[in-house]
Amino acid sequence: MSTEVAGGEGERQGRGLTVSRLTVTPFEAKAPAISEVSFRLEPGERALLLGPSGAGKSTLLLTISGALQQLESAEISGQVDAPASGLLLQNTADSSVADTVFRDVAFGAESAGIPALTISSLVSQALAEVGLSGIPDQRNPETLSGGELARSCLAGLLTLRPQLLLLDEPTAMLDANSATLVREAVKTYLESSGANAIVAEHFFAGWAPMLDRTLVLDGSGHLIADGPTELVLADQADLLLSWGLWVTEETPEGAWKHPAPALGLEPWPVAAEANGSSPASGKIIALVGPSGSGKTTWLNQALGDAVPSETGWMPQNPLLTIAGETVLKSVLAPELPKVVDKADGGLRGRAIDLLARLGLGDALDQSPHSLSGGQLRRLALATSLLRQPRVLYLDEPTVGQDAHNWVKVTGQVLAARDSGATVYLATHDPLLLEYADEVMTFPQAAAVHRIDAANHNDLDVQKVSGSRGQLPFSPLGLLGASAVTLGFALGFQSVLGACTALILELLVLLALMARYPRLRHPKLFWPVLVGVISVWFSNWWLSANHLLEPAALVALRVAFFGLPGVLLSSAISASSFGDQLGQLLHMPARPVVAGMIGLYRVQRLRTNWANLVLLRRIRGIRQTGPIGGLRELGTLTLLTLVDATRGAQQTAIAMETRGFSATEEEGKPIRRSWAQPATWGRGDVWLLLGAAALGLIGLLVR
Amino acid sequence: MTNTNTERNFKWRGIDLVTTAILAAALGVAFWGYDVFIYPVASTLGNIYPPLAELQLGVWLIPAVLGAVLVRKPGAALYAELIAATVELLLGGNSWGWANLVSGLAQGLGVELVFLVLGYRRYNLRFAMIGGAISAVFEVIYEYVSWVPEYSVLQKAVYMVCGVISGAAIAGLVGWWLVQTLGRLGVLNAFASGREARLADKEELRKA
Repeated sequence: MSTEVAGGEGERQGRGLTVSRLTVTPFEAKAPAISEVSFRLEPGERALLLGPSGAGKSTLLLTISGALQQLESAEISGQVDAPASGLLLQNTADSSVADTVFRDVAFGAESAGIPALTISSLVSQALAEVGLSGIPDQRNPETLSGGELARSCLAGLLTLRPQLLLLDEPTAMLDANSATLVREAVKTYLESSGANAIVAEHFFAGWAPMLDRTLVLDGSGHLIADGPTELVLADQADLLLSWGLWVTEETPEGAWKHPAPALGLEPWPVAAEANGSSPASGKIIALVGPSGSGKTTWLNQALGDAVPSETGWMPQNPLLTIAGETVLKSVLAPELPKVVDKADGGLRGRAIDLLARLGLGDALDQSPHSLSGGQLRRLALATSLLRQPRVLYLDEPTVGQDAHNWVKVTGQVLAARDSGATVYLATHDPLLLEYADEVMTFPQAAAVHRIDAANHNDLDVQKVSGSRGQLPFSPLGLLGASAVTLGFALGFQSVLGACTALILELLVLLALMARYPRLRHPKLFWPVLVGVISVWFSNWWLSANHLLEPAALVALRVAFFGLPGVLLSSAISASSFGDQLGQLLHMPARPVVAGMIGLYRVQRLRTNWANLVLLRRIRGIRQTGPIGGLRELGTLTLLTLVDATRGAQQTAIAMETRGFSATEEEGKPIRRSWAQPATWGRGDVWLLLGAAALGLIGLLVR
Repeated sequence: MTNTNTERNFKWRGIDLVTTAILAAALGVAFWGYDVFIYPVASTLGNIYPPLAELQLGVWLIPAVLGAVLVRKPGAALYAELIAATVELLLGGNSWGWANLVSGLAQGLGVELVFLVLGYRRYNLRFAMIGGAISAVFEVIYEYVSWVPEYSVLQKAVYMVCGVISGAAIAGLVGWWLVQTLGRLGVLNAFASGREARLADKEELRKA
């Protein structure tokens, strides 16, 4: 793997890329995903990779990058001779592996064992290359817009100066402006580095001019065309059109425009009678604004107030809508018939009809978990339309759709409007936006971080950085102090001593809370109080001789070692904890880094969970009661885990393409470096000493 | 360049680490859901006779069993349980503070011990349940020292029995079931455990 540290420009000539007779058969697939594929890119050559959905484009890129081999879930034969490569995935949210842009971009350099000082100049250089020098590098990647995140991920690849860039649908989820910026960034790098590139993209018109070669895979994973881009696009135009690729008017032969969506659709029966409005009152209201502009807040508010039976919601994460073993059962949901008006016997027929209109007619009996991202989105759309709602909220319905399916999706959106529904539409798709009747604009908000009033101790609220209210101690100091209090507490022998120590501890904690506003969460006292009382009570009631004093001692001990952690942990940052475990305690770097990523995901997992609860309420399929609650909890847990597992796989790929598992380079072992130093300050020493002093008091006072 | 993973490989891959970490974090979030849906009811029942509350213990041991059964490598149970405990600690709203990590350590080691004895080679429902039970034993011993030292011998025994039943029945069963279910859904194809679950499922379908 190449880890040249030296500056950006230069005539570095790559060795090109050779793929010979490559065949890849994914686990349990009947046929290879790519079959006997051979081609060679000379140094500096850049290729566009085209093919219908499911043609194995992603598989090819994953194999070339070496990430697929890590996943161990495919049979691979043939040869790949590739230089060190960087792979940019479509799902950039799962590619992010840190809580700040700086750490995220530095990840690859850390994997390569580059020293911290060099890393920070590499990071600023890479951010400048992708045009992101303007954003503070301590921002949480989750607060970036889709386009910024894609460029930030690209910067994370560029720190290692890869000689081969592999881009898998890099702009599929972006608006036109953001897509242009991503293309510019890629172009700048390719021109300055002379690296090779392969770009797989359905919507490829913008990419074609900068890619000299085009490779075309057919539906069975064979390479059926390979040549200069203009030539291939001209020769294969009909085929590409038939696959639903987005051959727009900008392409050389320019024959095709997106078809009128009115093509062959009949509006579904009007839901309007429920609210007395006429069909003509339906409209499409586009919600437009950058990430963090309050769109999500507005949407959550609207959904929270919505009347479930009149509302349909297609969330941005379509996986959340799965509610049954098959596609059809998922739309109908086993719980649904009980709550929907019994007279409405046509629900099943309507579901089948909707699925057919959305191109899922052949998939009725398939497991929804086997669907592709684009199919899943159409399933989610069908689900939201099923009850013919008066108000529809659709979040990015056209993402990942080829031209054929785009027409089907847009057709249903328009049909809903023509049936009298008010459609709120959040989308970046410029073609879809053309159909909006009204536009609701959300300006860029001043504060970019999310504030969740109900959960002040959120992991990501603490990431709002800056020295204001900076705590004087670190996670490790807190852990050490907690260990000290635990050790001493178990030795407490007298109620008086334990009481004295506890009261002094409380005073210290209250003083800290008075001094640092971010520690003020009085709510956190309650569980401790309840816990302590029940420990006291049960240790008295269930003891052999029912003495109050020994039981009280146990309760005081529990309070003494529990309180500091309960009250102070809300201010802990996962990343500085990880830095300390790795650098001060010298724990193995990879498990520590992966563990930190798990902690960073907590906020998103909770958002997903909350959305799932909301969605099930709106669909009227939420189960209640003791047994129902238990089943509901099971459903929520399983879907959360499915989503987490899928995301984890993407994250693992993103990590591997940045050298996470590389153990040596040219025979020399690599030791992972840390881009940011671990902190250990005077405050930590004081915390430890304070804990020990309180413990001693508790031990000695009798 | 074939890639069948027939021989045992105890070296952790990146995907082993990050999947375990994220799933453990997700379970941490599910615990939080548990607090909303179940805990109020269960705790009320528990107050009638405190050792009964220990029947919930298994819920907190799920990550350890799930990690071990999923990854099949040394350290998986401990790693998963420690991360879940850290998430719980950081989400707050409980009374345990950093003692959570001591519990996590004890619970993880319990499951770890069972699969160590089995050479990290044998994974089935029965061993998952034994893992959950031994994990509960470790946790209860720690609680003897810190939380219930004054209980009479009889009550301590009842406490242990409740914990062990819960460890086997909840942690063992649910931990095992989750891995099998995720495997059947096809999201664990990168893991030997997931591939086996998927193939077993297909086998059943063929027979039916």
